[in-house]
Amino acid sequence: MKGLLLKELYGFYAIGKSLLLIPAVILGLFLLNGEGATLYALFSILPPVVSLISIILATSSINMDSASKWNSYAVTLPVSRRQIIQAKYLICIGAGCLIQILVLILRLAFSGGEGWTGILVESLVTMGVQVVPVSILFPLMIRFGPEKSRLILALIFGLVGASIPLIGFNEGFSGLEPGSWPLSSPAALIGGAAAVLAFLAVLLGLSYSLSVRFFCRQEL
Amino acid sequence: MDTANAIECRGLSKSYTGFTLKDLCLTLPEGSIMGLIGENGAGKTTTLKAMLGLIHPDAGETFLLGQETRSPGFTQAKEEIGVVFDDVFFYPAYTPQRIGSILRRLYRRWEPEVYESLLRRFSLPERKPVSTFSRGMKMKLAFAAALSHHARLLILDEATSGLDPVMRDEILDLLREFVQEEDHSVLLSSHITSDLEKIADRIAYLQNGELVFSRNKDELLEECGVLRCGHEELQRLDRSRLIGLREGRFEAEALVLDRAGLQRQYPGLTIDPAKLEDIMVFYHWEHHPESQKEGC
Repeated sequence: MKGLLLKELYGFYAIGKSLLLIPAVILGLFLLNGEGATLYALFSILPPVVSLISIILATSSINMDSASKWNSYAVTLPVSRRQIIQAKYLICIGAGCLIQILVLILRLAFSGGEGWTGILVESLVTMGVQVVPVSILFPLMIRFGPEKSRLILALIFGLVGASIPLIGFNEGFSGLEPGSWPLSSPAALIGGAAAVLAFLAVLLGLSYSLSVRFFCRQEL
Repeated sequence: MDTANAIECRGLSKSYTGFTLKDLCLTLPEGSIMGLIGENGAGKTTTLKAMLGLIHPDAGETFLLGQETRSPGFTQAKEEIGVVFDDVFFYPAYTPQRIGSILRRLYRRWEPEVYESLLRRFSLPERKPVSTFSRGMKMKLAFAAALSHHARLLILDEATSGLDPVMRDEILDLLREFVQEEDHSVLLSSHITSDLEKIADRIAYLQNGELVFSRNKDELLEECGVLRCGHEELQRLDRSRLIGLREGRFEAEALVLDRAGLQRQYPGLTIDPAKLEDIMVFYHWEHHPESQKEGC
């Protein structure tokens, strides 16, 4: 199992060099911001950057496996098919979430607790942005291969994107003022955060079990 | 399950559109090298994949080193199985050094010294990415990986195809060294029958998904022969003893399975010793007479 994790990390290292451009550009833009370029502000922009890079790394990992036919070899190694999937989830999603949590702790520490509700909501949103697409994409990529699954994901997000204006602007969100949001109190916020985390955990669990099932049935 | 068999397949079957591996029964005794031969699409790779659990057979079972390949204990048994395919399936950006680091954490009995010495023996640079390697270098790397964890069984799928004769000879030497240990066994699928003539103890021949025979190589080559005769002589022969009879304008040729017996019965006939390639070709003609070209 350790070997599988190391294989993923080496893979990230191989593709990570080209991804360094993303944080470099963001850091450059950030530093151009002059007075606004504080350490706290830097931590504020980290979560979405981590999300973006995590998604790219996770999908690249499966793409590289597919291109190199790694899984055919991996199945001959003294590991089970379940462990091959476990390693992928641990590194591709687990590590990203861990970094998000670390960034959240750092942000809370640097802010001295001020505006913690906003920080928490932002962190949850970025974690969701990271976990949801990868959780959907992983089983699809394992079942249908990288090419088809990218099309399916684009279709899903296209439909979701197209449905937001219909649902949000016509009925739901138009009547809500910021002060009247149900999550405006700390207790409601913590409850909401817990609900979001629980949703992400369920989604992740479902995604993992589907991926294992697909991979165990897969002919390599 | 007989533990003296490195491989035992019983009734292995797998169907695809246009191809069926039919009820394959195959046994590789420990300490032997078996060559798996057959035309393209005969089912060699399907057989190896089904044995290793890469594909799911429709029926039958396979025991490798005494473990049924669908049993939970097979994961453990894979510690002692080395597999080399016709390519290297590592990311092109990985170096042999990194591959070694990965495999060291996967195999309990991984021997870094053995791996490094094999890399040196094959003149493989440790720190260069696999993407810069030639096909021969990649195959050597795959062999180095397969031989560095105390494997008792090697399964090789067309592992010497596309290599030049010098490299193939190096790899055959390696296999000879490997089987010096009496419990070490090799199953090697290959088109290059001359390699198998050099090193195999047994030959299994697949045709259209069916096992035609699995026999001791020396006995097979001793018994089989290629008959070449004129049409008049051919009229005197019992045709049921001829395989893949090919009749040309002046001469006919066929494979015979009892060279010595036929020679005794017809002393004047020319029956040359058969090579594995001859056996494959005549069996092909036997089953596909339409593909024969007029020759001789």
